[in-house]
Amino acid sequence: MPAYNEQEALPDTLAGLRRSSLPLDVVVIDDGSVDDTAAIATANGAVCLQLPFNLGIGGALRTGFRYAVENGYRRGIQFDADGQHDPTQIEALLAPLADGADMVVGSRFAGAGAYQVGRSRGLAMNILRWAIRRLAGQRFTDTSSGFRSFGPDVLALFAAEYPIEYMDSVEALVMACRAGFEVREVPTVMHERTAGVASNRSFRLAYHYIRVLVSLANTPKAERPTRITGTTA
Amino acid sequence: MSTRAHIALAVLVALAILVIIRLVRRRHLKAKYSLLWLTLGGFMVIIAAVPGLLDWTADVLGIYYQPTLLVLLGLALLLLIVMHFSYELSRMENRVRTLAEEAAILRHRVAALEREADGIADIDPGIDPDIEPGAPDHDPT
Repeated sequence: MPAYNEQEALPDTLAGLRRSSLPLDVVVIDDGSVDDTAAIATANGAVCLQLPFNLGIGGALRTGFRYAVENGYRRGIQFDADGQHDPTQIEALLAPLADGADMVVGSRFAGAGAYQVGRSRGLAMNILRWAIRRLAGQRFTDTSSGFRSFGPDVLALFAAEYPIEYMDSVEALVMACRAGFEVREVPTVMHERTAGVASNRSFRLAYHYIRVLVSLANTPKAERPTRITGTTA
Repeated sequence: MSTRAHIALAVLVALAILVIIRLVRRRHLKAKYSLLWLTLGGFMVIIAAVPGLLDWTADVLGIYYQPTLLVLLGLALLLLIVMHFSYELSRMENRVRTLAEEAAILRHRVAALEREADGIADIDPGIDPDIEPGAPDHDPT
């Protein structure tokens, strides 16, 4: 769970995860927050990895993947700290992993729930969806969803190499597909954000959409990694 | 190019090369970057030292106003150098990011180990003379 200045939402989010019937180990990656994110995470029983400065969500996620691989975890879930994901959906997100999938994306648009986005954002998402369909050779309804689960091989891939810039989730999706992993999508219900500021202002968003399209066009067909750097626990 | 221009160019190039060598000797500049700039300097030396070379080359390339060639070459080399810097910068950023990630993971591990060590010290103070019972809690949170 990457968290940047999420002290408001974090207690509720972590409490929600504690109520889950699944045996979850929660790892909060504090991405250089200036508030009490780290203290709150630790106080709420989560492992907290504190980055010395803000790396952006991609860097925070890669830290999490690295932690998972180094500690021998075989499955991982990416979960937002801001409370927009529903812990009761985790089971549905994990189920396809047992069924041969390497990565599962929880989609806001694949049926369940009613998540609304604005018109310009919707248009941009459509363009992205088209580009991704061409690159990934597969259709996704929600390419930027941050509610995902990963099997061991994808964890290893992302621990070694994960897109570092904003819209990392889109690039990561294409990366996994092009590396030959089986990526599935399941419908999930999501809440509106409870607190914190969503990391998108329109100018920045436009810039990042263009940037991500360029970098997607340049995504090489990745090789499956054979070696993970770092020590094993 | 006029003789005066040649002399001016030669003086400038000589100065630049002196500055580069000085920086390298004081270890303010890494040798690999100095090589880059020295190549540029060497290039300019040849142009400055051989009158007529620039004019001749410009004629061969079909450039009518000879000093343009000088500007063109200078720009091309600068572009290469800037590209090289971008490359180096990307590589450094990657390394810094990886270090930050490692630092976060290790920080957590150190804190966990310290808690464990404190626990051991509480149970049996004599187990390790290096661990003092009641040692200050190093947990940064």
